[in-house]
Amino acid sequence: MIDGRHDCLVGIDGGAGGRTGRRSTGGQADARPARGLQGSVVNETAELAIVGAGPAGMSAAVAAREHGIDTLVLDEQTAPGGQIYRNVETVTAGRPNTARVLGEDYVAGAAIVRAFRECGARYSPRTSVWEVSTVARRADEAAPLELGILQGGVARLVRAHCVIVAAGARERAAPVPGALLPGVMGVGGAQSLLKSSGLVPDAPAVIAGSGPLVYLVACQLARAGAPVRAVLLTMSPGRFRRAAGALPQALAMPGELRKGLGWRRALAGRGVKVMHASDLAIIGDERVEAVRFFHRGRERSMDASLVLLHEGVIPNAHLTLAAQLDHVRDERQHGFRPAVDEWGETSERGLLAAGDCAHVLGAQAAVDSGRLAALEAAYRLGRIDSRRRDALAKPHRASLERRRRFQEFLDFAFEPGAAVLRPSDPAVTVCRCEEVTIAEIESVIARGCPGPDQAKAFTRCGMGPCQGRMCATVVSGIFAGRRGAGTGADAGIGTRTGAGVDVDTVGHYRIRPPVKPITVGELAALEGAGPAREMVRAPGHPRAGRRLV
Amino acid sequence: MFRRLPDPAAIVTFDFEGATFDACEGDSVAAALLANGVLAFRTTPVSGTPRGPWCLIGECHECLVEIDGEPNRQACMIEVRADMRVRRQHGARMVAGWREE
Repeated sequence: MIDGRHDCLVGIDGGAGGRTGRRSTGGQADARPARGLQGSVVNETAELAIVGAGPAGMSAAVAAREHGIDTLVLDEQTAPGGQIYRNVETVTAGRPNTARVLGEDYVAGAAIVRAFRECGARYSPRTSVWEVSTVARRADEAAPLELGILQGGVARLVRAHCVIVAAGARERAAPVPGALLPGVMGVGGAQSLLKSSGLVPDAPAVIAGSGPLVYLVACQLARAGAPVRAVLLTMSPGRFRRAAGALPQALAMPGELRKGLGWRRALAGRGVKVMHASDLAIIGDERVEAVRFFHRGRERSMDASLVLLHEGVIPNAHLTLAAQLDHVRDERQHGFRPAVDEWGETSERGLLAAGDCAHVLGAQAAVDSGRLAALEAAYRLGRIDSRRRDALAKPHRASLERRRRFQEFLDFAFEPGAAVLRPSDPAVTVCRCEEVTIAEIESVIARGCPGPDQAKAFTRCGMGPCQGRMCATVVSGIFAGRRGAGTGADAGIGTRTGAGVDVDTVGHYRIRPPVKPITVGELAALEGAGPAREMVRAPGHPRAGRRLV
Repeated sequence: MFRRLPDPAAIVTFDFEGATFDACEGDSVAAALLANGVLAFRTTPVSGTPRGPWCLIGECHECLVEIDGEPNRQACMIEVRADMRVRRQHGARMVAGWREE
């Protein structure tokens, strides 16, 4: 039970001694113990708890504080900003070269962070949220939602009247041959290194994929003098030209459109090759050595030490999926997201989602949707009436609507191709953690496996440490593409239409809490955890007698 | 493989498999290793092949290393500290304390 194959959601406690100071302890929010259900101790309560301190979470907090709401913000990072404004305080305060390379849109995030710092919300950095649950609803009407959090190695429970999940987005996996080699990383990952540590590639790098971030990061790295050998565009050739048909949508935000066209010009001006590529493969033994691809029907290859991939971003929905809220699949963005109303409220009362985790629309829209969610929370908490709420919402609705229209253009222009959504190379590994190939997924489909959740049991796909974050959309896509030809109840659907069943029908892995790494010891030390805690206290156990909460 | 833009930053040193590495204050362990030319952070439990960080935001779990004797730590989510001892994680992580029972 201790080999890595069984390395499930929960890590086993790491060691008997030397744990003290092992994790950076963030400033802990003031704990206000209150006795809750079943004798368990809730370590903290808040009127509004916000998960994530990116643009959506920060703006929601600022808006909530404007209405006097007792607000607690929980975030994994060491400083506010989310991924888009990661480390922006440090960079703007004393890293002029990094600020210059990242550009003014990034630097502008410092103002949002400042407003958040000054808003009076309780802010808990270095804190992961491993569960949001509604178990408390029946008993505690004042604070019916419960969050499981981990902070400095201590697991605690937070109870709140309203919760806004603003967990952002993550890069979609690119199921490319060779993508598992050291030296291959996400374009967003490389940008994250630039923001946090001022690191830029110093060896031949190839950027490949689709989406605005490809152009933006290519420009930033070129500006920093990094040896970017080429930008390979993986969307189907002509797609961008055909996107001219979506020009009315593009003109919803002419400034954004100009910015995008400016990136293309800037790359040309710096002599960075931008070319269409299909059938991309990354070559190397122990690390990246080259990329191979087809361009205009001819096979090409290019030496590279780093390959940065990007196929758009998808909502970070693990927390809401684990809470078993209703989710929908976005047909344009090919990702699953929680179903929300016009305020961001999910299928669970008082539980809202804002920013990219509810719909990938970028930072400005995240500010708007964060504020809308906070207005709804203020209404629910009796701070404002519905008329005032609606009046305050107006400018944010208008701004969101413009962005939604512009996003339609982006989604069309940069839609990932079939090679990404329904990859067919049998040798490609889809599940990085458990090393499950497309051939293995196809084999269980052929034997009648009805869906991704069942494929977990057959192959262990999606059951490693990342909990399916990297493979879920790909595995669902493979099922959608192939299941029609299988022997299950749906046999024939795909053969008739030639397209298989749709991904909506296939669904997503069932995600279960805890959705962030937490050790058994940490969980068991949670007050009120019952028998599990006794287990940890058994004589001889490394944690015996230790009390964490 | 990576170089650092010439901005001022305080230096901290840490131990990687017996070697002393420089890092900048505020670096994640992952950034610090990449800045020192380390691309492969672990070998996988299933096939033993080398892997390095992919997402650098705590999602992919490809950057798992051993920090101060504790396995399965996400290098991209943990700030490097002076005198930290970091090792690659080879195959399945061991459970410290297991043999005591």
